[in-house]
This record gives sequence, structure tokens and C-alpha cells, in this order.
Amino acid sequence: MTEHKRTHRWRGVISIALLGGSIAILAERPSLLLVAIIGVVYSAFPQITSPPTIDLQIERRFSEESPGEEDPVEVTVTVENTGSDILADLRFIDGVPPMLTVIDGTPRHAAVLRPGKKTEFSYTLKARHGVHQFDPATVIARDFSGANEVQTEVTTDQEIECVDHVPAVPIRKQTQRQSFGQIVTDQGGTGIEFHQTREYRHGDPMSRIDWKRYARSGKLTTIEFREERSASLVLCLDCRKEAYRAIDEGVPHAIAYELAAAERLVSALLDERVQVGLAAVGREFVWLPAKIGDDQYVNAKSLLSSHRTFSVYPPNGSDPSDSTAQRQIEELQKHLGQDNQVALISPLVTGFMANMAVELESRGNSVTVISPDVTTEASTGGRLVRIERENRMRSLRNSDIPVIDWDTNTPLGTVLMEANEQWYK
Amino acid sequence: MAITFGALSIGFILNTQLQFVGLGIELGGIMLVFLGLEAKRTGYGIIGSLVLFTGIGIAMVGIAFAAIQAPGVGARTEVIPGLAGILILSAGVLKLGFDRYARALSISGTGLLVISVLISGILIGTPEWMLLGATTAAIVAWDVGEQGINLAEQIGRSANTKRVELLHMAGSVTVGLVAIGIAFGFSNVEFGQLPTAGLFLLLGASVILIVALYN
Repeated sequence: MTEHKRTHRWRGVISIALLGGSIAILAERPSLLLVAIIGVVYSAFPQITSPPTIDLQIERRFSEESPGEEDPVEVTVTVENTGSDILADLRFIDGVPPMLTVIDGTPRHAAVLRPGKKTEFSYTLKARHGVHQFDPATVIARDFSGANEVQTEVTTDQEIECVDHVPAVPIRKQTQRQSFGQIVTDQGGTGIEFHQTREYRHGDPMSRIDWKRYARSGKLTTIEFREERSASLVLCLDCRKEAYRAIDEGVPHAIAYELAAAERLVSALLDERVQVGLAAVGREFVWLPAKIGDDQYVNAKSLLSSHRTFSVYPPNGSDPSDSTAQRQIEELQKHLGQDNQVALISPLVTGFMANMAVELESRGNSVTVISPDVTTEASTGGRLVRIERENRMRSLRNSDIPVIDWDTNTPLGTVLMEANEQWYK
Repeated sequence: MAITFGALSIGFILNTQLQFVGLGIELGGIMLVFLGLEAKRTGYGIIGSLVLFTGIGIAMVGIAFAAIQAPGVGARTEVIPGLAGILILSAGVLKLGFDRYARALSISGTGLLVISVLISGILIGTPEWMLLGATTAAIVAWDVGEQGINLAEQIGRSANTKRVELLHMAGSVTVGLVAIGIAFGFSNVEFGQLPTAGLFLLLGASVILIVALYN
């Protein structure tokens, strides 16, 4: 990532040497020849300086570790020169998380850094819900003369977490209605609850033979219990180009809300010991099988923060169209097990995801749709999209698919609680 | 800072009091331009513009005064490009007008300063050390100005860049002093009976060397 370039900013100085020298000779003024020497020395200046090597360590401190929505967070950045070169002209541009805005100060800084020295500066961000990863910081260093410029990026694994407190149980309660959670099946097998008795088959375990009946009638029968399976939910995110839609410039787009929601839901559901998986449709198909445990949280989180499908920057150029999205849906259906439930997170600005929800529901996977509202009343086009979206939500509800309409000004937790209350009335 | 060096540069080659009065008037004008720009940035748009234009006007008067009052043709021809150079350089450094012309303005301003130095050398026969000082000051003025411009481009106006700028200026001044030292060293060398054509060839060769070094 390190780029070195020559700025050629001293190039013009040669002209002083040329002009001074020639005039000196033509006008026979030795004093002007000396002026030419000045020009020559200055044009040699950039030749004796060499491009600096950049070796930096960055540390960020936040005034608040877990800020609330719209809280100002002061970020103090400490830059340390861990290399052996003097950085005479260091320009530092911090990689502010794309979804956050700087409200005070500037994330840019210039400093002179001798080896082992540190410099510090700070700026203030406005916090928004979600986990925000810092982009790599851009560092530009020039030598004394400014003729060599080295540009590089310094990556750190830091993030600001603005936690939206999702109550521990929202999805689960709501999905229990659809026999989610501990799913009771009609299949006989191992379990606790009595299901049926059947004729003994070779290989049945001895402990499950009904010995009382054997004593009474002399026939071997086997008792079967109801099989129990633990709940598993796959969060499926709509990361197609259409979903990079925002209410206005400068406010987060739907993908940002989806990512924040996914992160909170994974953590809340894992706390409830529900198996959680992750899937996404967008640039590439993403699949993380449903599992339980802390590892799963780490996996899901690293996927959410690093996979290119979850990038907060909209794709450009050759975008995957609905046909590739269709292929990805087919792949999703291949991966989904019979007992996987699906929570579809999509702004529903096009009909594609709504159709997909219906399709999955008809295959037997119960679907819940969580839809961040990124439509606006401000323009005619915006109003049209809003009406279309409302129609889509209505038709989904008509096909018995619960839809949670998430007004993005309200925290997700509140929205889910309200949804629960509504459904349990 | 760049303007200070520009003024210093011209200060070296001026030799009559009247020229200095002209320079003083011009610098006063530029100061007003600076204040006007600051006022505009902090929200006093109309007052800022008024002060700014008054400043430009006063600077022009300064140039005209020096041009008319300076005694002798030589003094007049050296003072006009010099003072105009300072004004143009200031316009570039203060980002008067459009940002994208800032570099072009500061380069042309410096060019005028150097031309003024050369004219002074030809027509008036200003002492060597003054010519050297003036040239160095002009180059440092440009360097500091350009550094300010590219810092503003990459880092923005609001960041604190003083230390970086000071160090850069110190480096550039040091090189200037070294250059003056070398030049003085040469001035004591007896060229003897070397014909002018020989000197010219020597210079040509060194120029080709410099150009080769750059590419």
C-alpha cells in the first residue's frame, strides 16, 4: 500500500540558474553568475534528501466507551514514530468510520516526529447506533525538501461501539408463536415426552424396550419419545445495490442499519442460546451456518466487519443484478435446513426480497422480516417508493409473514418490544 | 511568512528611501487584505470585502508611488516587477480568489521577484551579497508559500501545521545559507584569462547535468 512519488516541486528553481547564468554572461556581470549558483544549489537540494520510511503506531482513546445515539465522542489519537527515521513533515488523516460525522475539530493532523516521539490530537464524532470500524488512516510523509512524498495506510483494529440495547428476548418471544425456540417435532426418537410405542426392531436400545408389556404379553415393543431440536435462526441481510439507500445525504443508509441490527441480534440470540447463522445477498453470497457459542459471535462479528458484501460503500460499475441475486437465493435455499428459521433484514425498497420471503415461507422455513425504513416523503419518487414498500409489507402480512417496520429514529430494541406486545395482545 | 521573505528579498535590492516608502505602503495594503480575508472567513462578509479591496487599492498605490518617485530609470525598472511580485505572491499564498490559481500566482510572484533581482544586478550593480540574499529570500518565500498551499490541500486549514512549516522553512533557509557560502567561495576564485565562451560552455554543461539529474 506504500506509494512513493517525487513531487518535482523544486523543478522551477533550475530556471533561476539558467536565467541568472545566461544574463550574467550576456551582460558580463559576474555577480549574477553567483545568483545562478544559488539556483544550482537549490536544485541539488532535493537530490540529497531521501524518502522517509514510515513506521507508525496509532492508538485511539474515546471519551466514552459506550456512547448513546447522537452523543458526542471525543477521539484522541496518539501517533508514535516507531521507526528510525525522522519524519520531518508528517501528514496524518485518520480513517473516520464512514457512517459517523465529525462535529468538532479535524481528523487531520500535521507533525514533526523524531524516532520514538509521539504526537496527539483529538476530534469529536457524533455517535450513531452500531459498531463502527475505523478505516485505515492515511499517512503522508515528505522529506525536508518536500521532493519525496511517501504515502501509506496504517490499519488498526479499533471500533466505536454505540450499543443499542436490544432487550434479551425480542426475536425469540415473537418467534415462539411460530413454535420457535425449543421446537417440538412430530418425529419420534429420543427425548423426554412420550410419543408412541411400536414394534421392536433389531438394534433398538435395551433401555427403551417396554419391559412391563413384555412381561404381560411376551411381545417386544419399543417406546419412542418426542424428538426435540433446538431452535436455529439464520439472519439474512439484503446487501444488494438497491439497499444502499438513505433518507438523505449524510445519514446512514439501510445497509448500515442492517449491519447494526444483525450485530445486536446475533449477540442477543446467542445469549438466549439460540443457534444463529448469517447469510447475505449482495456482491457475493455469504453463508455462516447456524451454531451456538461465543465462537459463533466472534465469527459473525468479524464477517460483518470485514466481508466485502457488508461494505458500507455502495458497489460501483458492474453490479450484480437481480439474476445473480436470484442465483444467490437458490444457493441460500440449498444451504438452509428444514428447521432453520429465517429473519430477513431488508429495507424492502424493491419487490425482490419480499418475493424471496414468500418463497422461503412456502418451502417451510418460517420467515420474519425486519425492515429499516429508509423511504422519505421529501420527493415524489420517495413517496412512490414509500407507498410501494407499504404495499409490500401489507401483502407479506397477508401471507402470514410477520413484518417489523423499523422507523430508524427509534432504537431497534424498542421497535422489537413494541412488535412483541402487538403480537401477544 | 512567505510574504515576509518576499519583502526581505526586495528589501535587499532597494537602495533609496523612496523605494522603501513604496514597499511599506504596499505591505500595509497586503496586511489589510489579510485582515479582510480573515473577517470574511469569520462571518463579517461585507466589512471583510471592503477592507480587502481597500487593501488591494493601497498596495497598488504603493507600487505606483515607488515607480513614479524612484530616482532614475534603473531604480524604477527594478522596483516595479519586485513590488508587483510581492503582491501576486501574497495573492497566491493568501488564496485570494480561486484556490486552483494559488500555485500559479505564487510561482509568478516569485518569478517577478527574481527578475527584479536580475534587473537590479544589471542596471544598478547592486553588491553581490545583496543579490545573493535577495535571490535566496525569494526562493524561500516561494518554498514556504508552496508548502503552505500543499498542506492546506492535504490537511485543511483548520489543522495546526505550524511546527511542520517552521521546520521546513528552517531546512530551506539552511540550504540557502549554504548556497550563499558556496557562491562566495566561487566569487573569490580568480577566473583569470578564461574566455567568456569557455564560461558559457561550463554553465551549459552544468545545466545539462542538473536536467539529467531530474529525469
